[in-house]
Parts: sequence; structure tokens; C-alpha cells
Amino acid sequence: MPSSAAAPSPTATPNAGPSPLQRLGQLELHNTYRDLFPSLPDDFDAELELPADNDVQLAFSVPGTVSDLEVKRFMDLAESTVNALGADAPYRSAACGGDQTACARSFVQSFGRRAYRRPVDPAELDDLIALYTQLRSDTDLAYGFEDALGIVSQAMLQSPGFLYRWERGLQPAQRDGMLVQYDDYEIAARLSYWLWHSPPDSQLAAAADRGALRTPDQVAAQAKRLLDGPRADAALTDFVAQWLELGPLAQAVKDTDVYPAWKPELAAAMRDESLKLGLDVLRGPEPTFENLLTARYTFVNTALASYYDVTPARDGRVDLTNIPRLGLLTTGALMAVKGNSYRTSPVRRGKFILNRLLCTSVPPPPPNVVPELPPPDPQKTLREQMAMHRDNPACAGCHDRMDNLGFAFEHFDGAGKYRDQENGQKIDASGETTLDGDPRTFDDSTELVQALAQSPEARACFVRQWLRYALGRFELDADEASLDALVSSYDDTRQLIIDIARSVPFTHRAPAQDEELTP
Amino acid sequence: MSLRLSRRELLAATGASALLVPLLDHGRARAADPAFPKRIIFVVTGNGTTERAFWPKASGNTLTLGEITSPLEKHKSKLLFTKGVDMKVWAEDNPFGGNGDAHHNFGAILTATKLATGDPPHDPGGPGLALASSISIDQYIGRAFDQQMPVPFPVLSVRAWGRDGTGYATLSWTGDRAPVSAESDPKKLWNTLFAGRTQNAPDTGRIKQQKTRRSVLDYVAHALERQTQHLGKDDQHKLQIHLEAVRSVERQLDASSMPVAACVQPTTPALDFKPIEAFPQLVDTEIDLMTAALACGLTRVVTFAIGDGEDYNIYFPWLGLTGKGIEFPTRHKHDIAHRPGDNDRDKIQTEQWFMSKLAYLLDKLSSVPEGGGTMLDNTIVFWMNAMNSGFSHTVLNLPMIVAGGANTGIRTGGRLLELGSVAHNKVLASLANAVGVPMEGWGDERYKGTLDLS
Repeated sequence: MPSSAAAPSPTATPNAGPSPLQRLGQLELHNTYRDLFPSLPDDFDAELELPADNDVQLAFSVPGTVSDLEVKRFMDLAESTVNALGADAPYRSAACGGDQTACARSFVQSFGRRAYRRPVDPAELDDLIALYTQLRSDTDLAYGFEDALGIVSQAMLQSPGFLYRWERGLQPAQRDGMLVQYDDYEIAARLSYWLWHSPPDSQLAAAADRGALRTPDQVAAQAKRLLDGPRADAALTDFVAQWLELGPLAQAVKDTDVYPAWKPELAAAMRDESLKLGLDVLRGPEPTFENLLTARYTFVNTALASYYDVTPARDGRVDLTNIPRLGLLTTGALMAVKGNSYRTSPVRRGKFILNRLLCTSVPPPPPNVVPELPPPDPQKTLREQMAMHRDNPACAGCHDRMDNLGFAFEHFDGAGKYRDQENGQKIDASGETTLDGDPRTFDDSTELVQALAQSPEARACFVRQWLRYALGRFELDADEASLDALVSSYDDTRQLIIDIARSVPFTHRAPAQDEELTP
Repeated sequence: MSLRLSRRELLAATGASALLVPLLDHGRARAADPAFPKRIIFVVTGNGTTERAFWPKASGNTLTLGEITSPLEKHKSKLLFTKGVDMKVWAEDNPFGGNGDAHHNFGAILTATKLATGDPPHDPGGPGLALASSISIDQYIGRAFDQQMPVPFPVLSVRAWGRDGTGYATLSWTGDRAPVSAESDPKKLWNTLFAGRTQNAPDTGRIKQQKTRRSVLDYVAHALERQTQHLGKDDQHKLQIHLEAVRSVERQLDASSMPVAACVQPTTPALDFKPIEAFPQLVDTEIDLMTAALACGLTRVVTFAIGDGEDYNIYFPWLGLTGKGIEFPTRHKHDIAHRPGDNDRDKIQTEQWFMSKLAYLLDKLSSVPEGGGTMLDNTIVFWMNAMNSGFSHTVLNLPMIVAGGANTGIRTGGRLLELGSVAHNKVLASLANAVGVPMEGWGDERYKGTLDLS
């Protein structure tokens, strides 16, 4: 068991922070459409370009607000998708024997239950039937039964019940002491959008209908089911990809005079390697933070095997015991994405460790800084050339810590390959930092990574990163007691995911400012 | 349906309280000549310039252009260089501290107020979002113009690359934390502006399509209004922004079925705009479309972002600058800002290219006859860079040009106006006055006032 931060005091009450209203993100929207209309091909939205989510430093991407461009995109998406469905459209199979308006009501309720991830409110239903009636009876419109339902579906796909993650519906939220407890529909959607980036499956939806998502144990059981299912691979790899900030790797350009072995297709291979390794640990017998950092194996394809000069087994697995790489932090992907076109970037590597492994933010450079950097000197190592960062007091405040961490990785060049020497000189990858309040020295990245893997501070940051991913927001003071409990009980990541699901910040939230609640 | 804003609504939209809200209802915007109304175009690019090659030299009545602005030589008599303008609202006070990494300042440029959000984790809006706190002047002017003479698009927001919806990239804001995403796809931009637009009354098929869409959007607006009940303040704000966007699209739909006056409509662009090699054609195509939109009376205010505050994805293969970066992974605009090349060679060359695009815009505006002159005489083109130096991130003495507008209150004539150190708020307020939207100042109240640009 890891030695813990102080256990929460007996009087500390687990609590939860407020949670802002969010709309469906890019991938969530894509998956929700495909779930509603299973005949859609995977590239049904490629032409339309749904708005991308916004990156958030030190945390995970969130969708943005809606301006008229987004309204038009959602309109185009709904129109073109529903029109393209043809015979596969759900309302086409809603054969209606008698009263068409009654059939319309029935269709809206069943389609709405799935599209809104909750039962349709009677007031919403009335409004949608009013729309249906208008589409049929207006002399300029005069749509037939099925076409009218098609347009009603389009309206539902543009309405807030569909676009926003608010499965409460039109009723005010229910007080639970100082907090609001999410209802069954909300819990179901929180679980499935977190772990599968998709709406609830039929089992989860049925549990919500039965009111069987009320207790922490019930929620944990469903979390475990979702996590054990293959669809959770997407969320596990998405977490790793965002945590390691691998996004820009796809556009990375490397100078082939400096890195002659680099080929652009290696970028995709390296990304696959990191995600496959991360997933293998997280799905394996010991899915711990420590193993993510110190695993002594990886997975490579043919091109990467040749690049790393290793011989993989038939499934691509490579034993790294005699190779100075370990875990996710020395994979080619991270080293290359935090590397420049012709050299390493110790500053970006150090900043990454501070941001994502120690949850520490670094302020921007001071104003009007115009450093007189010396021209690149082929006789010196990069560390020697960047001495000014540490010698100049104006720079050292931040750079001392960042550079020390970043230089630990100097054996991995800007294109992710291991090297013994730089410009014919021996590489010095040693350094010092402060971990858990104590000074720590290290000879190289292996020692730094092992120190991070053992560090309670780093482990706590890892738990914090998972909580940010699960909640879709930063933790606030009110969440800290629950966060402390998650940190002190952290054993492995799969258990952490289930513990987050049963924790108060996941099942509850603080009321929003000026929110009207049922008493 | 058009937007009629009361002062109360405008105050609510603007959000922050320490704001100078222009006295709009004290003198309605001066009635424009409906045949040739005044227009204004805001063009912003980022990552600074090379000062010594940007500013012209003035001697007597002669202006000698610098190397960067040499492509503007033929339009020289229609240029006013305003020198000594500082983004004080950023330099003196921004949520990131110090000069606050001015790569994130797009949200403060046309709003001229302090951003609403700062650093995570305590301020979750953070540098990832850098959201503005109030309405931007293009939106304000667009709404003021709308009260005299509604057009389908009170403001046309266009971008060439860059990112949507964040303070790194967004110039146009309808209010507090309410970014307006700009269109970057020329085909979609053309569809929005011109698809199905004819001089004839619409046929029954089109009427049916429009009416259907209108019914759907009316439903969506109603659902949004209904959903805001019981929600907290910030969540209501989000849905309110969405609702306003729906109303805005409805009004564009209404306008799209109105027959238009005769004007030359451009054909559908056939450009694959995604590869960087197509960037020059993308910018040209967007300039063509915005000119046509203005000439066809579809809009009177255009906001054009060429790139964004960071410019990590704009590089210059057509200038022979290869993909290999010096300080960054690629030789993109941000890399060039930090490592400008020997004697700033690469920086000057690329900035000169941007000036050639401004020249193209002025060419296009000058090619539309209006009265005894051209559309450029009735249009103020305001071009600025978000930074002075992309290297030091300073926002003092910003590169800035006011062009055209001969029939507005601006006097250009090939002038260099040395202003000392004035807040950019004053320049924006002066431009609004020049196009007939009266105000005593713009944005942050600490920097109220106007300049005499006549």
C-alpha cells in the first residue's frame, strides 16, 4: 500500500463542488448519433466538421459554447443525417394502425427516451406534437405522417434535451442536504459518457428506469460492468492520449538532416505504441500508476522495431529489460512530441512533468523578455548551451525546476530515439528536484521516473487527473475531502475508476449559484 | 425579425459593470445614405512584426513605406498609420499576470476589456479558453447599424485557419463568455451567404424548406427558453447564448429568402482549403466572398482573423520557407516570430506577404463602384496585429493601419499619426464614431475617450 497523505479527519464531510452545464462533445455527439441510428457509417459526419472541443491545460478537453456557426452545423447534421437514413429511419418502422397523432406521441416518447437519455417531459411532448401537427396541417408544408416525424426527429436532435448533458429534464433538481444528488438518468449518462463516450446501453438504461442507480454500490456495479466491457478501451486510451498531450504529434516535422531515420509514418506508430502500452497496463493484472511509469515492455510495429533497434515477438511485444526505456514517459511518442524538429526540448519536457505528473502550473514568461540566446554551438551539449536559464536570476525561478526535470530525458533525442552521445560529447542526464518536500537527485530518466512512480505527490496528481477526466471540470475546495479519500485508498487504476464512480463528486454536485431546487 | 436592443438589454449583454456603454440611445446612429451605407472591416493577425520594417517615414507630405508595407504602395494615399497605440487593457492588467503571454489576447482586442477568465485550476476557464468578458465592437456596431437598416448578417465573421471559440482565436464576442465562431470553409461561407439567393421570389419548394427550418428553429428556441428555468445563473447564461445564436440563424434564414438587388454573386468556390499550400488561395477566396457580401448588401461589418494568437499551424511553403522549425517543431509563424532569421529576413518576408493580402482586399473594395467613387470610400478597413513583437510578446506600439473610408470621418491621405502612448480603446471608439455610431469611449472605462482622426 502506498504511504498516504494524511487521512481525512473524522469531521471532514465528503462534499462536492458545482458542476457546470456541458453540452455533448465532438466524439460524444458522433457516438450518440451512431447509437441512435445504427446504420450510419463511421464517417457520416466527416464533411460536416462538427465543432472540435477545446483543450484545457492541465486537464481534459471540453466542448465550447454555441454560436450561430454551431447552430447551423447542428441543423445541417440533423437534416442531412435524417434525410440520408431512408428506410432505416426509426420512424419508418413505426407502422401506425389507427390514430396517427397517437402513433406520433408514441414515437416521440420512445425516440426521445433514447435521444435525451431520459423520459420525455409531458410539456416537451406536447410541444413536439404541436410541431408535428403544424407540419401536417399547414398548407405550405402538408407533410405526410412519416416525413413529419422525420422533421420532428430533426428538431429533437437540435434541442437542448439532446445537445446538453442535462438528463434531469425540465424538473428542478432535488436537494440532498447541502448538495444535489444526480438522479438515475443522470448517473447512467455520467457513467456511459465517461467510460464509453456514448449514451447508456440498454442494460444501463433499464437500471435507470428501475431506479437502481441510487446507492454507491449500485453505481459501482454498473461502473465495473462498463469498465470491464471492451467499449471502455476508447476512454482508457483517450485518457492516456490527453494525459500525455500526444495531439500535436501527428503534425510534427523532424529535420531529416539531424534525424535521418525519421519518417512521418513513425508518428502514428509511436502514438499506437503509447496507447497500446497504456491500455495493456490498465487492462492487466496490476493497472497501477507505478506500472504505467515503469513497465519494462512495450509494443512496436515493424517500422518502429527497426527505429528502436529491437526485436519484437509476433504480437509486437518487446521486453525492455536491457533497454534504457521504461513505461509511458520514455516512449518515442512523448519524447518526440516534446521535441523540436532538430533537437530535444528539455523545457517542454520539464513543463510536462510539472503539469501532468505533479499537477503544478508554470506561469508564462515575464513581459518583454528578449533573451540574447547564443547561436547553436556544435561543440557543446544542449545543457551547456542553455546554462543562461539557470544562471540568470530572472529565468532561474521557473527554469531551474523545469530544466532539471527536462534534462533527465536527454538520452532521448528530439525524434524519440535513444542516444549515448550528443555532438560527440557524453550526455549528462543527471539532475535534482524536489519531490514530496524533499530534495531528490537522479542520474537519468530511469531514476527520475522510478522516483516519480514511488512519489505520493505524483500518485496524488495522477488521481487528480483521473478525477478531472471523470468530472469534466477542475476539482474545487469542496471536492478535496473526497479527493483525499481517493488518494489514500488508491491501489490500482481500475479500482480508482470504480471508487470515483461511487464518490460524492460523481454522484452529487453542489447547487449552482441561483439554481432553483425542489425543497 | 430584427434585433432591437434597449439600453438595458445592451448592458445585460455586455456583462461587466465597469464598462463604458456608449450612449446609443442618445442620438441614434446617424442616418446612413441607404444607397451607400458606411461599412467597417476589422482584420487582425497575430505574432507581431519587425518594427523597423513596418512603420513608414514621414517627411513633409511624403510618406515612404517600409519594406513590410511596400505591397500597399498603390494604395498609399488611402492609408493612415496610427503609431503609439498600446493594448493597455492587456499590458497593465490581464488575468495571466505581467504581459500575460499575449498569444492569448484575441478576446481583448475588439472588446478592449479585461478577459473574464484566467488560470486553471482555480479559474477553470483558464488559458485553454481565455474568454472575453464583454461584447466586441464589431458586434456592437453591427447591432447599431441593424437598428437603422437590417441586413441578413449584422456581422460576418471569417477566419483563415486558427481555432474556434477560444480566446486564442476569437475576435468577435456577443457578450460575456460568448464567442462567435468564424467560418473558415469557403464553400460553407458561400452557402451561408449565397446559396439559393436569387433576384426572384422564392419558389414553393424553397418556401417549404424555409418554413420547415423556421418551425424547427422556433421549436428549438422555445425548448431552450423552457430549459433555462430552474438552472443556475451561469448555466442559464450558456443557454441564453445558444438561444441568441438560434435567433440569429433564424433571421439569416428569413433574409435568405428575400429577393436581392442586382449584384454580381460569386460562383461556388471549388478550393480544397485544408492543405497549407492552399492558404494564399484561401485568404484570397475569403476576401472575394466578403467583398461580394458587402457589395450585395448582405452585411455591413466584417471581422476577419488571419490565423490566431498562436499561429502554430500557419507556415509558408509558397515563400520557400520549409517545414523545419528552429525553436518549435515546424517553421510556422510562431517559430518565425521567435526566431525571425538573419536580420529578421524571414519575419519581414512573411509579414510583407500578409500586407500583400491587405493590398488585395483594398484592390477588391476599390473595384466596386459606388457613387462617384468606390466601395472603399464608404468602408473603413482597420488592420492591426495582436502584438508588436511576437518575440517579447509586447503589446505596446501595436502595428496598426486605417485604410479607406474617404466618405467617413477618417482622413487618411498617406499619413503617419504619432499618438504617443494611447489606449487602443480610443482608436476603436474613433472608428465607431467615423462610421456613424456615436460613442464617448469603448470598452474598459479606465481608457475612455476618442481621438481626432480627421
